[in-house]
Amino acid sequence: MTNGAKKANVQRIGTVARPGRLEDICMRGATISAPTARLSWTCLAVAWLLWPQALVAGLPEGLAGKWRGVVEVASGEADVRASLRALGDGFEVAIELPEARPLRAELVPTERPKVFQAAASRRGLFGFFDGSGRSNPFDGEPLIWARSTAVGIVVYGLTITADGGVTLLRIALSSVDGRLEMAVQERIDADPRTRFDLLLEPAG
Amino acid sequence: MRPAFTALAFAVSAVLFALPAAAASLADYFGSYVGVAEVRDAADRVVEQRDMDIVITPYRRRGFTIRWVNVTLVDGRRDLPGVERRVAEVTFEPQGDDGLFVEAQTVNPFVEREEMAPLAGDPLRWAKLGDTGIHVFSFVVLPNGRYELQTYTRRLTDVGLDLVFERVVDGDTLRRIDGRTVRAD
Repeated sequence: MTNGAKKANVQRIGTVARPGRLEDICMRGATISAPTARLSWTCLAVAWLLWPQALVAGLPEGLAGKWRGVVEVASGEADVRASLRALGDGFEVAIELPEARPLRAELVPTERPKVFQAAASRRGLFGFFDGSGRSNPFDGEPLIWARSTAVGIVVYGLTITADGGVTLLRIALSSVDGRLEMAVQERIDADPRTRFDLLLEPAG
Repeated sequence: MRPAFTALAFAVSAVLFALPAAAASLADYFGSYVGVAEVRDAADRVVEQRDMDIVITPYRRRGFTIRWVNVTLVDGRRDLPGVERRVAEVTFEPQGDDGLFVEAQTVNPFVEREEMAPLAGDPLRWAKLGDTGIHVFSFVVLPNGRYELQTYTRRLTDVGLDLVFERVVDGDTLRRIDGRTVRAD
């Protein structure tokens, strides 16, 4: 080695404290030090404790409850009702609109982030073949799903009729000053039919 | 007697003219068509011109296959570099007797049938034979939970087939195509 050569950068390795029994089990074959492993396990435990709350966030704050509003239709005024409830890692939704089939579903997370599907369709469209009673849009059962947004949720319902027609409902829900804002779009076949925005009051 | 006969003749004529024209049957659509189409964007501007071929053929006893070829023109021509040619085909089988046709699945006896999962991104394709034409729908739930619905409406005319296509994403129409064709048998 010449005088001009750099000194090797050597770090002194400290003594590893003897791990406890649990750490001993967890550290078998590990390549990281005990303090690092302890920190990692602590982080994992905290994450595990917070995980269910993160999933419940599928229903944004301010949406849960029963709501009621009135909308004008051709024959006068008609009630609009909505009910939302956090349920496990998803939520339950029920919406009644004038001149439309009520939309009710328990929505559970999918593998896609912030996307929820009706619990009945969790295992696939053709699940009804195994006798589990899941829905099939081509048999007239609505395909219901939802996504959460920065300000609320959007619930969708697709219904294919026996003659091949389609009704597609899109209902955006968000919380505004203690009320529920509802924006409804309905598309029948290729034509957009109904659109209204409405503020619903708490229904007790 | 004559006034009574005249009145009866008027009544019969009124009934006959009030009856709607007989709806086209599926067989009326079978054939080959060639024509042109204009593509419009969300702002209703014409952004492309296309040549198109459509062939509708029977499938098994009561189903049908639609095959179409679109050639996107360059400056209104198809002999310039940049021309694009796209071919698509879809086959439908009837479900029930009310006009619903569902995309036929390829059956392979050696492969277990996979479940269709719309919420995992599997598209739903079906068709409707109605008084106003053949409507073909293609629906998919996008990864972010929004939806895309494509509708193709093909109507018989005196000389061929007219086409209206719309691509709708989460309620907004992003693209519309209007085309007209003549029968080329």
